[in-house]
Amino acid sequence: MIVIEDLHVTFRTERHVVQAVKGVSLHVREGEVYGLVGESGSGKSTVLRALAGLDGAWDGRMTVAGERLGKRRSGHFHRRVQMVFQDPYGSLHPRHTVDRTLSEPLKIHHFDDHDGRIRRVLREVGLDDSFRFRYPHQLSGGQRQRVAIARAIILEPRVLLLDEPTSALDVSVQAEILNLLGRLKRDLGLTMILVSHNLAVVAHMCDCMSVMRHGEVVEQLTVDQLRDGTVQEPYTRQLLLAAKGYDRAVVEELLV
Amino acid sequence: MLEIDNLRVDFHTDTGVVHAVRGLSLRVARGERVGIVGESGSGKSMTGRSVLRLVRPPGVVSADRMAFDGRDLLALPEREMRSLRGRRIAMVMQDPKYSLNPVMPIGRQLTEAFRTADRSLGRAAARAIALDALAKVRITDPHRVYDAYPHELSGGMGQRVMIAMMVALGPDLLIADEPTSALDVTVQMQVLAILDDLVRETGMGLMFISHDLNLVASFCDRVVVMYAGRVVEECAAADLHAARHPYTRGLLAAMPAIDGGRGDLPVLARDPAWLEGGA
Repeated sequence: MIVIEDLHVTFRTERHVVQAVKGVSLHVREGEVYGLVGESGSGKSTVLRALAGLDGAWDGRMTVAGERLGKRRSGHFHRRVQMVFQDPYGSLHPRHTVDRTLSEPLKIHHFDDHDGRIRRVLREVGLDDSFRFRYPHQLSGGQRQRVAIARAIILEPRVLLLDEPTSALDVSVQAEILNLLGRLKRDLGLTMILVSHNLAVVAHMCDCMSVMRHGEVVEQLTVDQLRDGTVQEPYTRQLLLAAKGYDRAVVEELLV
Repeated sequence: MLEIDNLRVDFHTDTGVVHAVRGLSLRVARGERVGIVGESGSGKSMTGRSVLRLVRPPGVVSADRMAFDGRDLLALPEREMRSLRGRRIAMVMQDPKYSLNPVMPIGRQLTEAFRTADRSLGRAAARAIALDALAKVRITDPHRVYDAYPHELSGGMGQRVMIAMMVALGPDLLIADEPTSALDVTVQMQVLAILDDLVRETGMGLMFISHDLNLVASFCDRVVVMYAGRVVEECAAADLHAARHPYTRGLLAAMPAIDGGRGDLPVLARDPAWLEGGA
């Protein structure tokens, strides 16, 4: 469904050239949830943004459902590929009601039956009609993230790109959002790429994953391998150990 | 060392009184690591700020007793409170970006803090202490960091600088409010190791405020779970996974685990009775 081959992303400023992504290749099958894990600065979000068409300075080959991606994306692409961002406080327009946030993509893509679609999508993400004319400041963090997900799925996309969708939320709210994403995967058969620094979230949601560091893929593995602890690379093992909580012996190992 | 009985923090707003902390009691002993966990809005940060009297109006702090080494923190004149802050009780907050002065080199910020704490300290001596403190928090090139501005450092580096500053003052009690939440896991582990050393070597008491139950369970000695401004559960950190209160159990169940099931996560059903029930 999604093929990325030898992706390079370079950012240039007056004084610096930063190679954020250096030759990343990955393959996501239809209906699969694919995890991209790594620490900050590893390039995981940059891969996602390049795929979404948000960063223009990339080289390599990217294909979604057989469509070769160029520097500019078609309306058709944006209808099929939608993105959800980390911060539900920053990603919703503070002066737009939920209704307006959800009608905008419908207008842009000339969809009919706005009213029915908005009702259905709100129900789909677990919000009742009373939320429809509220502003973001009248919503909790979890409710905002539900609205952001509703905005992404209202165009009936085939691919959902998720950039740390739960890391700004409390664990109890995170559970609700992960359950919602799991249900969307099952009911709508969506293909997803989930970027996260949280190995447990990736283990819970994904089928396959890439571990990234310094702009490169360190290891590609199935989540079952992660669960069994049959990982190959020392860096993946470090992340795995660190995710299990504080352990003095582990720290000594990390410091080497 | 730190004794808090029946702490209350109220915010008087136009639309009524918000009770951020509602009758919290807590002890922190020398050389003890006490974790305070809870979700956003549970009052855990307000508890930490109350100890240093850093709650700003319209917040009002009251308690039956709040004492540090036998001194009544609520009655202490502001002048004496200032001499406690930093020197005896220090605080590290979540984001070094907002704790460091962006237009002053790191070295000057450190030496200024040390020379304010100890007026007899000369420039050269303060510089030596600062470089030593930076090396202690495992910064490999202390001289470079000493001359750097905050924006030239990564988040993990900035947080280590903050810890170096607090720790060089040799506090008896450190209040760490989500000190590692903004850091990558591997850096997080290193920062925790530094705090771990301090507790072991100097007998510093640590109040570790966090939303991360796993981290607290693995790092602290004792855990206090807060919900809506109250303590709902208190136990040895090692026993957290056998927690009894439905809120604590709900939180633990809601966390995905690397080796856990793949099905829906149990969602926390909040019981209004939790608002009233104590520990």
